[in-house]
Amino acid sequence: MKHSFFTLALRNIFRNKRRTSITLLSIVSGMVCLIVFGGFVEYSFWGLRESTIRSQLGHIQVYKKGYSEKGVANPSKYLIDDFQRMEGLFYKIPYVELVTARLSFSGLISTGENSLICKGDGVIPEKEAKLASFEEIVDGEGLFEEGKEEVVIGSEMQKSLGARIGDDLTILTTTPSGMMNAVDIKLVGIARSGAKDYDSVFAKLPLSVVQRLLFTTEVEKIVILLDKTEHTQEVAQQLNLLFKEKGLNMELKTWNDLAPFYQAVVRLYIGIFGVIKVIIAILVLFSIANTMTMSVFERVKEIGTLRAIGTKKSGILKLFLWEGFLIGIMGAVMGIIAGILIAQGINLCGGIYMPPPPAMTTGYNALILIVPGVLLYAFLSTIVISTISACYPALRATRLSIVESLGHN
Amino acid sequence: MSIVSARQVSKEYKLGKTTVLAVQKINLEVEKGEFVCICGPSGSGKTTFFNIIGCLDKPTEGTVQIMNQDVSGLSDAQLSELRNKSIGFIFQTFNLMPVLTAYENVEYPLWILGKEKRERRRIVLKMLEDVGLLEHKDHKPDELSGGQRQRVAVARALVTMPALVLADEPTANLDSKTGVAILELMRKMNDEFSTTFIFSTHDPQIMEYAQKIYHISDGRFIEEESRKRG
Amino acid sequence: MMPKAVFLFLILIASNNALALSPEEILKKVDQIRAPGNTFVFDLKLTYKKDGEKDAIQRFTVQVKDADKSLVRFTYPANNKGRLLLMVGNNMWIYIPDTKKPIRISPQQRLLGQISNGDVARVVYSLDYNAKLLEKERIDERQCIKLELTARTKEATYGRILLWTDAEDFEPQKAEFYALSGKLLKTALYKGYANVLGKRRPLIMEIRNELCKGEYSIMEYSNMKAVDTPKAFFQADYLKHIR
Repeated sequence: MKHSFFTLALRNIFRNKRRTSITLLSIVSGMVCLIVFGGFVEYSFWGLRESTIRSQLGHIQVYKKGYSEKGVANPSKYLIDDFQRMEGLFYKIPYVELVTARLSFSGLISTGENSLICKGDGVIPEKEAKLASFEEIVDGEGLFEEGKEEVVIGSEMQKSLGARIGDDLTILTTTPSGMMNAVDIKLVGIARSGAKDYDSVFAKLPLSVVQRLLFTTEVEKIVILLDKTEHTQEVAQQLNLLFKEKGLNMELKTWNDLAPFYQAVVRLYIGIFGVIKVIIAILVLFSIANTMTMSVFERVKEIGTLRAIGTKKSGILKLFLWEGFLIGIMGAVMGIIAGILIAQGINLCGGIYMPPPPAMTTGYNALILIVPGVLLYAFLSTIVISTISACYPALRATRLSIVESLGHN
Repeated sequence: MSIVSARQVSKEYKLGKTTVLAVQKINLEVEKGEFVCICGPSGSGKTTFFNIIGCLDKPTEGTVQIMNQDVSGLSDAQLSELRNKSIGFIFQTFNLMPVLTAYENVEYPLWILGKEKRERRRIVLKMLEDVGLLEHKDHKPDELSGGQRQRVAVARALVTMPALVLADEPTANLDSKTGVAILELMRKMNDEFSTTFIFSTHDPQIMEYAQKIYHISDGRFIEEESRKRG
Repeated sequence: MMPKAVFLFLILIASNNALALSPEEILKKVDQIRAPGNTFVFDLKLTYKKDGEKDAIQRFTVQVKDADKSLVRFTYPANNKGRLLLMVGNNMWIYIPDTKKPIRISPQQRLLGQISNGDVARVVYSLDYNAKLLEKERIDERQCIKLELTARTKEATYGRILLWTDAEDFEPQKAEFYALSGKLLKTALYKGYANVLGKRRPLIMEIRNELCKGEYSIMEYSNMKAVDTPKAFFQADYLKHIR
C-alpha cells in the first residue's frame, strides 16, 4: 500500500529541483550548525574536564573517612598512615594508571622581601609529571627528585612575589600541632594551569620535604589517575567495595564531586545549546512548511483529480507526509555528511580560537569533536521536524473541495 | 438496471450577498449501457450537475442514487470508495499525474482498490493494449501527444471496470480526427463492457454517438432527445 | 681527706655563682622578671616597622590569668576598637564586634600579621621548654649566660630557642627563635628595664623577623597591675558579652 505513495512522493520532490535544493540547503545548514556547535561544546567540556583532572584533581581522591567533612578545619586528625599498602591495593584495580599521594599545607612563602600566602602541595615528583600533563611549565622545569628542596609555583604567584628561577625562597608554616617551621627552597619552575585563582596560590614541593615541614610521615590524600575519564564511576565502585572488604576506614571523591565549577559550566553550555536546538528546529520547520505549502498550492488540480478517482483524504495526507519525511531523510543524510566534512575541515585549519573563559588566563583552540549523540539527535530531529512541518500543508490539502480543486488553474 | 437516478436535484451557491441557483430541480434516469449526452453552454449548470452525479459534490436539495444506492448518507471515505470502484472520470484537460508513466497512471485506481501487483499488471497491460498505447506504457505524459494522453485517461477511467463513466468534454482539447478516435474507443468499451457513459459536451460529433441527449440551460433540462445509435 | 669529686665540686660552686642555679631555675627567674606573677593586666603599644614604609601603631589592653589565659582588647586604631583576642593554652579565638560568634584561629593562620608576635611575647619559658646551659657570652658590655631551650611538647610554637640572660641577675637580654628545621625565624631583644611592681622588668621588646629583612616590631608595656580577671572572661562564647 505504501509503495505507490512513496513513489509518488519521491518523484514529486524532484519535480521542482530548485525549490527542493533550497529546502535541502536550509536543512543541511541547520544540521551543520547543530553538529559543529555540539562538537565545539563537547570539545570545550573535554578540555575543561581534562585540564581540571590533569592539573589539580586526578580522577579519584581517597581520604581517611571523615576528611571531606571535617578535615578541612582539622587535617591532622585525618591523615593516612599506610599509603604504601593502599598503593599496592589500588594498583590492582583495572584502569588505574597512577596512584600517588599528596600532603598539603597553607603557609607563607617569602623571598625575604615579599611574603605571600601559599597553598602548598607535597607531591611525588616522578608521579606528578603524569598527573600534571595539563599544567604548563612556562619557565624553568618541573620538580625532579624526591627529597630535593625545590619548589614550583604558579605563574600569578611568581608575578606577585617578583621571584625568578634560581631564587631562594622560604616557606613558613606550622605543624599540625602548632609548632612553627620553615624551610629554604629553591625556585626551579613556574607553572600555569590556566585557572587564575589556582595559579596565584599554589606551590608544589616534593612530598618528603613537606613531610619534614609538617613533622609527619603520613599523607593527606591519595590521588588516582585513570587511563580514561569514562572509567571513573566503575573504578569508584571498585574502590568502595575494596574499602568494605578490607575494612579500610577510607572514603573517596571523584573529580566530579570536586569540580563544581566544571558542573556549572556544563549546565550553562547545555542550556545554551538547548536554546540553539530549538531555534534551528523552528527555522527548519518553517522552511519545509513553506516549501510544502507552495507545493500543495501548485498541485491543487492534481489533488482534486486524485480525490476524484478514489483517493481518500487519508491518502492525500499520507502522500504529503511522505514528501516531508523523504525530504527530511535526504536532508538528514546530506546534513550528516556535510557536518562531518565541515567539522573536519575546521579541525584541519587548527580549530577556532577562543578567548580565555572566566577565571582562566589563557585562551585555547577549540576543535570540533564528532559526537555520535549529536549526530543521532540531528539526524532524527531533522526527520521528525520535516515530517511534522508537512502536516499542516498536508491537512490543508485534504480539506480542499474536490470541485474547486478540479476547477483550479 | 438503473445506474444513475437523480430526483429533484438542486444546487445553490452563495456569492457574497446573492444566492445563485446553479441547478434547479433536475431529474435524470440513466440505465445500464446507455450512452448519454448532457449539452449546454458554459454557465448553464452543466458542470455543476455533472459533479453532483459524479458524487464530487452534494446537492442542496434532491437525491442521487448510484446503482440504486442513495449516496447522500455516505461518508467522505465511502464516497471515495464508490468513485474508485464504480465511477470513472475523463477530464477535458486529461488530468494525468505528470510524475507517473502511462502505465502507472492507469495502474493507480487499481492500487487504490487494493488489487495485487500481478493482477494489476495483467489488467493494466490489457487496458493499454485496448487503447492502443502498449508501446508507450513507460512514457510520462509530457512525452505523449494530446490524443495519447486522453487515451491514457480513458484507460484509467475504465481500469476498475466501473459501472459508470463520466466524461467532461473529453474531445474539447483534441483535433477532430483524434476526437473521433477517442469516441470510437469509448463506444468500443461501451460495447464490450456495457459501461454506461454520460458525456457533458457541446460538440455535435459526440452527440451523434448518443442515444439520449439532454439540453440544459439556466440549471434546467429544457429538452430531451432520443436517438438511435449512429 | 675529701674525695676528689667533692673537692672539685666545691671549687666549682665557689667559683661561679651562676651555677648555684640549674638552668630550669634560671628560666623560672627569667619568667618572674618578665611577668609579675600569673595574674595581671597591662597596656601594650605595638609599633610595626618595615624599611621604606610608614610605622604602623596598634594599642591593646591585655589581661592575663593563671599564666596561660590571655584576653587582648584592641583599643587603637579606631577600626580595630572593640576587637578581642582570646588565648587559652594553645587555642586562639578572635571576636569582631557585632558578629554572632568568635572565630577560631588555627596555628597556620597565626603566621600572618601581628598575631605572630604574640607567640614570642607569650612564651612562658619555664613551662614549655627544657633548658641546657651552653657557654657564657659577652653582649655589648655585659656578661651573659647562653641557654639552649628545646620544646617540651609538640604544641610549643618554637622547636628551639636560644636565650641570653645577664650572668648576675638573670635579666633576659636577647632570645633567638628557631623553626623545627633549625632555621632562625625571629630575634627578640629585651630592653627598657624599669622598676615595676617590685622588680626590674623589661618594658620594651624588640622583635625582628629574620625571614623578612628590614621588618621588626616594638612592643612597649605600660600600666602593669596585679589585677585579677574573672574566669568567665576567658571563654570563647562569652566574648560577645564583654564590653
